[in-house]
Amino acid sequence: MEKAILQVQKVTKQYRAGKVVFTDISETFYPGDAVLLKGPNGSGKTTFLKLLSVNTFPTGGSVFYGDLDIHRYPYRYLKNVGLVHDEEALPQHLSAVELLTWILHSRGLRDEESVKEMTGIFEHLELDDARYDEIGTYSTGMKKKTQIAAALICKPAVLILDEPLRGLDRSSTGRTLDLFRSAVSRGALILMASHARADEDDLFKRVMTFPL
Amino acid sequence: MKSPAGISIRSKTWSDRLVVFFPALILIVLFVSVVHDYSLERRLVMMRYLLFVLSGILAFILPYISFPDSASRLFQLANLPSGRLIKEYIGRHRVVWGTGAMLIVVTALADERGLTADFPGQLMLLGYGILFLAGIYLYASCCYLKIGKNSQEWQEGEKGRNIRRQLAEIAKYPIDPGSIPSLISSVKIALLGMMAVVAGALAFGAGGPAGEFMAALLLFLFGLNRIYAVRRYADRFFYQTQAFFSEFFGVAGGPDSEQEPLKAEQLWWIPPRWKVHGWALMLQMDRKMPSGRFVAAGHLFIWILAYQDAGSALMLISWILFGILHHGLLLLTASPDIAPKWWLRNLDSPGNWSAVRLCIQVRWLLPLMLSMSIMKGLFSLFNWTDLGLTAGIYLLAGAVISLLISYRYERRWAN
Repeated sequence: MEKAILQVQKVTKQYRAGKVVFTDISETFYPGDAVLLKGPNGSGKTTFLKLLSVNTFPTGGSVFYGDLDIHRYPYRYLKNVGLVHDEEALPQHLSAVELLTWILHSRGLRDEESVKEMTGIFEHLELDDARYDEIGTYSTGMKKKTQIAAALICKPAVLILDEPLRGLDRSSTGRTLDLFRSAVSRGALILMASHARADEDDLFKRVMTFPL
Repeated sequence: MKSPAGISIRSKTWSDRLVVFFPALILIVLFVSVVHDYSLERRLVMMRYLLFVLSGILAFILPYISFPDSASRLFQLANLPSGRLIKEYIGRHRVVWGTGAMLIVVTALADERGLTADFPGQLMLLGYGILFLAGIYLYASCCYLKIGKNSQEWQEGEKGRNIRRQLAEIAKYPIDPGSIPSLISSVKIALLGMMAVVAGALAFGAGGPAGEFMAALLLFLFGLNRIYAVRRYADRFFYQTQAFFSEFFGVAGGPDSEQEPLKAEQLWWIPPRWKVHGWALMLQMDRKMPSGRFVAAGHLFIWILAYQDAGSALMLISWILFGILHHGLLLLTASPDIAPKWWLRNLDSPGNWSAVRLCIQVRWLLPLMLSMSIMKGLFSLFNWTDLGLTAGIYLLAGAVISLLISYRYERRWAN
């Protein structure tokens, strides 16, 4: 049997006693899984993704990446994770190229192939010449593409994506899903919350419906 | 934060910096004007009081300027290692420890007579002050870096729920249990700083300046030891504390609070033109930070200082410093979480928003003057002119900071 990449074990999250988001949930995810998180606003999708991206800590239970407790060793876990956060939080005075360069430098992943890979992602996302402009001048969709490129550039084993398709036009949505598809084909796990019509895409074989 | 290619990630404009450095500059000038003709003995006494006050400020202020950190999402994208996270965390406090260090330099060295026979003693005093500040700062920063775990347990556990209920029902005083570990840490840090000042003074009695210097050195080594201890797991501590404060000031706060929300009619001192704006900002500010408790703690601290027989000059400086520090609360209104740009721009002009911010700050002036007047009556430490000077500096600093915060947005849009 294939080894799980991410295991959620009896996790409870409440923001304060009595304000419960979910209780005792257990889930297992495997390499190459593409999981779509669906549910109404406020149903806990973002909290679940925050839990997996170490932006919230469980009230009880644990999450393991392989044998690694992700909330005990965030740095070691995040080496393997690409993130599209719910809030864009991008540096306004950097260009998309500079941002990705900084990410690769900081993660110790920059090499002679990096420029080629960056160019490939940006061109696929149709973020052409604008990628050299400051992010502060970007439209909503362009910022989202920058976030997506920042998540993908490190070829992570886990992709945690909170509404990555929000603000993208139909063509960009299709191109973004192509990139996700190729990540899944190399064995990456994708967990994505989306209100866009991603459930119609054949990429997502598994759907988690919230509230859990 | 600089990238390997020298790219600045935390972009700050000159006005951002001015908002922070203007009060620091006023303080430095004030200190120079007081200590410029002091003897070495008076400088030593002044230094002890300064360190006493700085311990109290560090004890209270650090968590509020540390978390939540809006750059934490970027830290995750770049996956900064523990050492870099600590560097970023300490860098966020540079205005506090930087100003503290400048005041220590001024207290030790600002001398109208130039180089005198006291100079070696002044250098030792400088070393004492810097080591002391570094020690207490490192200890405080470690306490708050690690506070997320305990705070979360208090906030989310049953124990916290019971305390919340009891405090609301019995004491009629709403408090979030998640803030209890921070309160305990504040007391711990302030006590350690104050006791270290006293221990240093005792060591001076036994071993002269070298004895007091050694006491500061011990505190510094203790602080260094604490930071070394957390260094290895700083990523865990940072993200857990970041997560806690993000939730504490966001989803975990508010709606079921037992406290009656503020009403616009209660703001009698704000002119009708600005009343509703002031109300909307104050509601959010008070939900984000318990300003009243913060101010009350400051008053208490200055009264403790007065009971230590601090001189009138130091007491006056403390009141002025405390007055200026009140305006740090206005920085909350510079946050887009509380005042989004579109909101500010669509609803009124920067000039009017400046007036609103200043009006909000006027709420603390009456308690300030009252507390100072009582102290004047009890200890005869100052005269009415000093009270007027303090009020004047309070209003001037409030007006300048309000203008800087309000117009910085206007300038950004123009770009």
